[in-house]
Amino acid sequence: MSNVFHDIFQLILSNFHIIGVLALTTVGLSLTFKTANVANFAQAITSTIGAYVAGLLLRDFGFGPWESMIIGVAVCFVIGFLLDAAVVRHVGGGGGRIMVTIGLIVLITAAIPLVFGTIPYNFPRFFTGQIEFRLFGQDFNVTQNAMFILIASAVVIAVIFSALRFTKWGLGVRGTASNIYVASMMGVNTNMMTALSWAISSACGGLAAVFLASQTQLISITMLGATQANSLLAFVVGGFASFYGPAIGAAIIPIVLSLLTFVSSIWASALLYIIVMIVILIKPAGLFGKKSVKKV
Amino acid sequence: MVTLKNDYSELEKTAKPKYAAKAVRHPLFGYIVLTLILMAVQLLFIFGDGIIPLNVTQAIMQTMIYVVAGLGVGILLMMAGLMSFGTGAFIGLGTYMAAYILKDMVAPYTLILAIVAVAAVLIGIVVGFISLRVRGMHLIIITLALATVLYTLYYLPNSFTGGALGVSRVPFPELFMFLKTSRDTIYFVILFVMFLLIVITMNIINSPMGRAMLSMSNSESLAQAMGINLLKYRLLAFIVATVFSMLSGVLYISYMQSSIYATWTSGLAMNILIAVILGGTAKPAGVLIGSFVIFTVDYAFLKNIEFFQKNPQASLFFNGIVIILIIAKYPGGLIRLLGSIRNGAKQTAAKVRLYRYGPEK
Amino acid sequence: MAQKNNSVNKPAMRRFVKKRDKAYDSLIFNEKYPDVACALIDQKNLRLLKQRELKMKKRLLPLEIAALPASDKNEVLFARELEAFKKSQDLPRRAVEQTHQRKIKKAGELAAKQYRDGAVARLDAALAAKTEELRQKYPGGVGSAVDKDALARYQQAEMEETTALESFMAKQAADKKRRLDSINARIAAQKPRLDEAFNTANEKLRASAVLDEASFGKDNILSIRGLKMYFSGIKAVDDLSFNIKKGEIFGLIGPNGAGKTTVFNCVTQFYKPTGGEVYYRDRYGGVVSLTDYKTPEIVKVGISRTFQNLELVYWLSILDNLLVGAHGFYRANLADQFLHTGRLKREEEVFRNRAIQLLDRLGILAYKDVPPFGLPYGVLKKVELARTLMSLPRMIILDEPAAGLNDAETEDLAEIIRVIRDDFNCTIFLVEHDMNLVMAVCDTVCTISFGKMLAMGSPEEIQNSKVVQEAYLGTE
Repeated sequence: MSNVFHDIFQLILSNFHIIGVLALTTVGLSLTFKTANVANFAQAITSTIGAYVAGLLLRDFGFGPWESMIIGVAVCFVIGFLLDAAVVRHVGGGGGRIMVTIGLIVLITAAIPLVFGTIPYNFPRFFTGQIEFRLFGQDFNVTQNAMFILIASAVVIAVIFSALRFTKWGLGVRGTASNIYVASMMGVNTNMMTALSWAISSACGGLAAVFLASQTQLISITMLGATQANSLLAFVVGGFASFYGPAIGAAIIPIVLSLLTFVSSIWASALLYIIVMIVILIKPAGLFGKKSVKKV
Repeated sequence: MVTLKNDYSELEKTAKPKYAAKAVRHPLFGYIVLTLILMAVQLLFIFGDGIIPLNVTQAIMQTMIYVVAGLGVGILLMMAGLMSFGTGAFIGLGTYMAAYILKDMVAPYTLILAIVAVAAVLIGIVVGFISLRVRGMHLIIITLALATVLYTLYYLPNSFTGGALGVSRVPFPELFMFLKTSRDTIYFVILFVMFLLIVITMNIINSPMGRAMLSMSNSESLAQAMGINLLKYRLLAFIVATVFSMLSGVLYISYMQSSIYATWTSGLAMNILIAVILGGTAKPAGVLIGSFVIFTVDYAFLKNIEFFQKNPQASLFFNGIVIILIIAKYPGGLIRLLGSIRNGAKQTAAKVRLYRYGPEK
Repeated sequence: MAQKNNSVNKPAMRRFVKKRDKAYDSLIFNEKYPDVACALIDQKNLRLLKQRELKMKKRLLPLEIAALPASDKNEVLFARELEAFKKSQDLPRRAVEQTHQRKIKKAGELAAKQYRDGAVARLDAALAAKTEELRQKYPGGVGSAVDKDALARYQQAEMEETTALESFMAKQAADKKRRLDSINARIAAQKPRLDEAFNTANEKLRASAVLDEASFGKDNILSIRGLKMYFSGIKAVDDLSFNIKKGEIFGLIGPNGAGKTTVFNCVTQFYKPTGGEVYYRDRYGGVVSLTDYKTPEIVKVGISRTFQNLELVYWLSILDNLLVGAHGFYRANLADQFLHTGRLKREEEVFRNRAIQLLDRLGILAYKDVPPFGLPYGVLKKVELARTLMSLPRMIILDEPAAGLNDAETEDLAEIIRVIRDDFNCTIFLVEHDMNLVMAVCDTVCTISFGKMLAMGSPEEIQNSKVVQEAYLGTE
């Protein structure tokens, strides 16, 4: 029995980096969803560009991993800003915007091999050591890198949340999210708010991509595919209503997924979807959301 | 001045009876013409000795198969306003069911279509019920979930889907018990089924249920006040989409002869959605033109150009640009774009007339 | 207050309601269809007749010309061909005028005049040459000899054609009569069955009426009794009771947040009331409790509503928007709709006919084929009104009909509301902010504030009421 507990806990420990990555992407997703009213399906693929830029700088230009990471994230920031300013803002309606993000997936998936070549890039771990510890008479280990990713993500998310809560920008974003028309009438530059949200969301994604790359030491087009799907799930499970709900969802999903992998590795993702489906059907507003009443 | 006994002035006004104009205005005229053209293409391919390259007819066939699914998606998305990512999985289900029937027994094609359609109705009801309470983003997640579950089921080793290997070497179906089809003649069967479903789609759009779906997606309170049962029409939209998708699967297996799980991803569903949205309307014309851009152009034409042979990603890249441009600049889709081009041409012609001849007296 | 009769087994009642509604819809359809069918047949016959006449004239024209006396024949041919030539010169002449105008701007008056004179002269010369040529071809004064054969041929043909046309018309008439007879026969055959189905179901439902006639009130159409609607502790409507008489225009007014729209939504079952009863006399004369019905069934009882913000389907034409209003009254099932059978087409014709009549009555027939994009607000309001009338309602509920209308449009609306009441025998129940409209059209006005009734009476009484003034303007 204790053996099973050991295996499960070890599995969760080895997925620590995924929790961090997922939390980052999910927070990014909820930022764009709240301000621009679009589920950004293209977030994973735009983030992958950041990882590719970092990998390219590292390989061909002799940058260190930290500098490459920062430049990669900065590139993502700019891409996010430009995407909103040049494309998404000009598309009306939620359905159309979702489709634009899907078009972006097609576009960028095709563009990355054209620009960066078809061979996957490598990326080193920021920290190479292992942390080993004993708990309840059992040995556990977790890579330092995964631990770093988890903590760094938590810090970044904490910074974003406190910015949302305490800064003028945060107030603007929250105002835009709650009612874009009223906010614009109150003198909030909603266009700027939305574009900044896109930029920050994209930067979060880029950071997540670099983190993931540093853990798996590999950069490829499909690296964030599973993360994208899971962050959509985390987003829905957490509920759209608040900013923190999705973040909690992002912590829950990888843990549940680890448990399910333990049950059946083939069925894990299908079971996860079934569970999420049941959650949605029981609580359509998500675990931490509240129901809104439509006025007739 | 001599006056004639009868008044012939009318004769000069309407010199020719306008049967042609009347036929053109018939809503199905374009589709009938298209069907005839496609028929001619295949006949040319069979008897024309290399006038039509193989990949063109193959691309047309593939497009027609996805158009069938696209018609259902069009009704679901453009009429009822519900976005589903499960289409790919349902096409796959259709292929496996048809393969199962075709492999084990000799059944006429119509019977297979009927069996699959009935199964699809049942599945559509189940899917509809599951997704009755949710909309928008939640609906996308729910349908993604269903697609993932089905995908996993296809992948698991079993005799129905053949597991990771899929089913292959499914014999070509027989029509009416005796007429054996071949790789060439199955084209006409697919064309006929597509035309039939186009007619049915037009009927749905132009009937009370089409209007009910439109008003439901427009405003639910309006629909309820007008006596429209939301539950019924949401279910109906799902059923129609599922039936069309699974029939498309039957067509797929009867042409491809094989089916493997890796085809039935939500990526395929996404491609079909993109085709419908590019078309911009639930009308078959929109679905046809969107599917043409997404499924035909690349395979039938670009593959013959050297540049695209060297860079297979480039055509996808241009697809992406087309999608974004159309959605951003023409929310009405390609149909609206074509319409505005036609209007532009008409206006230009009118301007030229005005320039040359001045205003009419 | 009468107790609600709970002995009615609800699913069973539903079944009877469905049966009765279907029978009633069929009866109404049967009543309207012969006229519509007759009009359609007439329309088609007329078109065919015109085609037939054209065909006849086409055949007769050369024969008749050939049968004229020689001189006349030449003259006619000459005139016709010259006319055709002149017509072909129309466009070039217009082009010359247009070029002349342009040349004035570019090359000056003189050059332009020279150009025009030259061009017109050329055209005139061509015309003169053609005239000369035609004169040569058809010389005048060749006597009045008549080609006997041609005349005989012409007369023969004329006779043939006349008889053919007559027989064509006779055939059409017979055909029309046959079709109408078969329609009428079918309707007559259906009538006893439908009547019986309607009567038995109606009887059953009458027997289990929720409220007896006396306590409902003979003249009333709607009776709200002790209506309560609470939203998580907030009392939007609190113990409200009033009656609406048949055929009156009833206005519900009150300051913002008084719960007016909530009352509406409780009547149309968008909200299920927390407490209280809403009784209504349905179109068959029975008294029903509206809370027994689901939202989409309300329109079938004979209550039709408009919305505060326009709720039109922007992808459909105005006519199709009206057809949405008749949705609940189609009897065509799904198979009919998938295959577009005759049954569906016949019903569509009847509803289309009704829609066109309504649009004509409200004076917006010109817009029937356009979608509602960019049409004036007043027109769209009228479309909504016409849509409510599509379901042949007995009571129409108008939610702030004058919102967003200017003074002239509001006056127009008041007129239309009266017309609807008088012509279509409807009771009208409206919520409104615009006092001008309320005072102009309403027979009875009810004022509520914070979910409770303040005053009820004629518009004058309300205007002079102290309580109402306080509620609107605040206490001094």
